[in-house]
Amino acid sequence: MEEIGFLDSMFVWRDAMIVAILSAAALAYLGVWIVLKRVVFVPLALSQVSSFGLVLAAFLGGLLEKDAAHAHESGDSFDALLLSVVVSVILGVWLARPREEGSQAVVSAYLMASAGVLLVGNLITDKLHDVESVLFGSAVLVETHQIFIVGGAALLVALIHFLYYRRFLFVSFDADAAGATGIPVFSTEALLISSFALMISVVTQAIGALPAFGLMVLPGMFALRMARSMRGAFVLAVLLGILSAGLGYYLSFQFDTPTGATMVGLSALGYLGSLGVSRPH
Amino acid sequence: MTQSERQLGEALVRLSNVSLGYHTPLMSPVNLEIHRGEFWGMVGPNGAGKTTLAKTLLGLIPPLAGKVEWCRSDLALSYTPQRHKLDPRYPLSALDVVLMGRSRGLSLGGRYSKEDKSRALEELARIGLEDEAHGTFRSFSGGQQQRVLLARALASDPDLMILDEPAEGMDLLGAHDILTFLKETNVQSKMAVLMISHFLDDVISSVDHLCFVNKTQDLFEASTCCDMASAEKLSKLFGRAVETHSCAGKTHVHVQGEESHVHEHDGKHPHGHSQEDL
Repeated sequence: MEEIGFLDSMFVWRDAMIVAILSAAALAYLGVWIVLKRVVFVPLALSQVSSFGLVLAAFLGGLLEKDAAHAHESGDSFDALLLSVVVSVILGVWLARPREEGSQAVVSAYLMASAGVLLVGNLITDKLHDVESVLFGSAVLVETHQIFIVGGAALLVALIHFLYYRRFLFVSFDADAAGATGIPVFSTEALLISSFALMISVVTQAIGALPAFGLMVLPGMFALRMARSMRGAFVLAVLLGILSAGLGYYLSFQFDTPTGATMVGLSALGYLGSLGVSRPH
Repeated sequence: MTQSERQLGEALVRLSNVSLGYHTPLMSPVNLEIHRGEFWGMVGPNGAGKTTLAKTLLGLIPPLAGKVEWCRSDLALSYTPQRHKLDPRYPLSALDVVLMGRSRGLSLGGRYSKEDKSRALEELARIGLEDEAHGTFRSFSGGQQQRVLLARALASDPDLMILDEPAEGMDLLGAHDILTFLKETNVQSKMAVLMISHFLDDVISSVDHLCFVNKTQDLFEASTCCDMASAEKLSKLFGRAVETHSCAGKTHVHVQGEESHVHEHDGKHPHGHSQEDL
């Protein structure tokens, strides 16, 4: 039997590739903020909350005698996505509290969501394989409507950051000085973390928890080791994110490896490579 | 408001029976009024509540009771934290940092104007770092970083500038330069300055008003330097015998060691007399 080439099967991977690249670009940009603010565990907790939302949706879908995996693919999961986004944004605001309380909130959210995934996952053993495929980014296919969901979320995040970039930077670098000049620190922090929450919950539902977390943190860590300016850091992070997502998808298609893990692996290689380069001043 | 419109002696901030703290009051309610042109030093041991008081003045921490009054609706405040509290990971240039001082009044999505940039460069030039405007903040020495933060505060054109330990970790010359610069700026620009410092010697020699804070002794006192810089008051603040003397126009403060303090109470001669500069 003749094998179909990568380009010949574009109709299979086109939408998934677009979603993966859009997701990677948005997450990598946000990842620079995440790493700078030293809150890398926040997206971990947020992606776990989104994972719990997926498992819960599968469980509820089963109760309603629907095929949960089919529901996810067909767009019936829009309510679950909306719920996940709302819960993540509320959680994000909760996490924007003062550092010590905030870190306790992150750990609590992660542990509760992890326990929820395992407990509810235990009740949907027949669908668990499908759900795990989504959680770990092994799913190869996405629906066309997810391009619009991920693209819409990325556009909203881009708009928020265009409007608030200077406030985000001042508050992140020196919250007390920013507060003294009249910038509302808590609401600015809450908005920034909400943008993380929005993007990570949408991307987790689209390409899975592992790539969502990996593509958010690793390109940011790479870029901040290499860049001498904020602009340089954003550009490098987005480039590594897009490269990891695009090349990762291609390699997983060609060599039949798990998609999400391949993308994260490439990002990790980029970061490990940067460790060998002396950090610029 | 232009500098010529600023009136020396105008009240800027007033604390009336303010209880400081996050959940429980740190000390009895405090009263304090700061006027334009005054140069305040805030002194107290580590963990005495100095930073909490400064943040309450700035409106960053709400008072548990009492009233914090900003006497002008357009009062411009600036705060320079302890340098080590800033994260060195940020890839920011000196100019980026100073421009943050021009954020007040910047609309959402707004960009810094040419005027903002020239003002930031002007402040960098004032502190002698004009050639380092595009150098990365994290690569600077501690003294240079402190000067950049000072330039940021000045670029915001504040009515009241609060600095937390501006000379911390600097060598003698660097600390002297910073304090001299602050004194000159205070005189020239008619702004009020409140400096938190452990360098009691320098504070006493530079400022015209002093404020003692020590929550463990429920102590808060504020007045002119002449009133405050007595051995008796300083001894009360630090809980140990303190001596002051003047030399070459500067006031020097020494605290006696615990051992000599005990001997004095016992009516014996102090042996192993130890002294420590504050």
